[in-house]
Amino acid sequence: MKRTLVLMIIAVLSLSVTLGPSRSLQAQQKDAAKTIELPKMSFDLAAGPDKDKANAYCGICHGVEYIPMQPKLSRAQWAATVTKMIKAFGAPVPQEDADRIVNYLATAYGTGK
Amino acid sequence: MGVRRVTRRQFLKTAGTITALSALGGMPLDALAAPYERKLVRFPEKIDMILLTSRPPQLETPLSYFQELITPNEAVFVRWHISQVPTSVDLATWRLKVGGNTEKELQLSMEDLRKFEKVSYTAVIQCAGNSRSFFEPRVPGGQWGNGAMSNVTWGGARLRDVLNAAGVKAGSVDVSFNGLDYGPLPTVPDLIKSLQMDKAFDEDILIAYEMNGKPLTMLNGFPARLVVPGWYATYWVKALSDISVNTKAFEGFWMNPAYRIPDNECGCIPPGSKPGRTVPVNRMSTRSLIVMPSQGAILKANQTVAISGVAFSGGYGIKDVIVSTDGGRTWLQASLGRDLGKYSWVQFAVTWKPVKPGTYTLMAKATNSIGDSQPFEGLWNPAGYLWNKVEPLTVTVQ
Repeated sequence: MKRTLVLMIIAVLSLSVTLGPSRSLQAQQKDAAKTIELPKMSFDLAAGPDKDKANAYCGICHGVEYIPMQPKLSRAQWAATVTKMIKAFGAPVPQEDADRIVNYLATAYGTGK
Repeated sequence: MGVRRVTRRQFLKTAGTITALSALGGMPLDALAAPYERKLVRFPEKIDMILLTSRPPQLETPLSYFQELITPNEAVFVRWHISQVPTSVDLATWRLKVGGNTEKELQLSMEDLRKFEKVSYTAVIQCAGNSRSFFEPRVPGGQWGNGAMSNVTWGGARLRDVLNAAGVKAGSVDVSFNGLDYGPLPTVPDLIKSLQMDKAFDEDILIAYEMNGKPLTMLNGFPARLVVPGWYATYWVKALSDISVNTKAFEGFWMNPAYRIPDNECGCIPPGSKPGRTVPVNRMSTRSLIVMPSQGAILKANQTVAISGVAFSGGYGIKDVIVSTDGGRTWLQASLGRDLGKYSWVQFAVTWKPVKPGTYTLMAKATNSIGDSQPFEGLWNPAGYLWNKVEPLTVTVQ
């Protein structure tokens, strides 16, 4: 009985010895777990027909602030940009809506050419 | 005009007049900024940064931070490509997988990574599209001012040592790097970059887990990122998770057609034209930036001020910087600050005592150790990369 108790104590001690380093490691890892929360931001696009379509489709993949950040672009440049979003990135925009979005962008953020 | 080397003490004496200059006030430091409305925003672990986009986060360093030799972690610019960026990483579960055409596949924990010899040096990190908003004709893309760059002391393991631990097998052609970020739709190409075999074994490339002696900030790539000193930051993949050794050249959207430059000496073509052959953007061009005084500053006649800033090149150090106060007609030799190695930027300064009131155009022009310098006219390419023009800056003396 006594012997069992001694063995148990030894077992517990050696267990705590083995646990020792891994506990401190756990503490380290706890320190090294990092979580941030990104601020949510909303941007209001310029008024114009089909602004809602630009908001809805462009906003699937990126903040719509990408649009007013651009220099004023020609209609051809905006069309190329929308085509790139569909062809290269797979933006799910039906052709009719794509045309409307190009119209909106060329009018609200265009050079007029 | 001979090169006049100055001692560190002389440099500090010159640079010290910056304080006096600051007291004079003048326009906000970011007046020489992009020609569109920009606002300051606060993101986690960051100071107030200039917002390009919130989703994905793209934040520019305010120019005032370039008065420092080392950019504090909180002010280092941020550029993610696709919207699903990592916001939570636990080192208990994070592993860096190294595999492909290797003897064995590694699953490295941070503890494993730290067992490799630690290497530390200072290097400029700069977006290939830094200063894109100054292109004429303008080009679409992230409209950065001059703040998509920072100078940071990186610490980490050599990529080469990690590749050797995995054992690269014969027949390998390149190495690709993927991070924890991913696209908002399955069709959005994941940001994966590659380096050719000989470049990947360059002894200075790091898997960095420290910036300025601290863990990386989440937005700068916690827990580890690639550091390819001298090359544009597009290769410095953040939140690294996978390294793959390939037997067939990696081809992905972000290697081709993205991040390409015309295949010629200057990486440029006539403005508005279309390039023929292109190559992946690579080594950084030599450039300099006057930080003080700021664009539009108002100075007092007969008072000595410092014209100071930073200069760097793609891994060849800076041999000299010259400064003009008369729009490039005559030049003064600038004194250079502390040398932190060939990948770091160096601070430069000249003292100037304008006598006559009027408007003055200031310029700085840097030359690296192999003779590369800066053009007086902006070199143009359709994606808006490699900007390194000698920038004129106007001040008024009263």
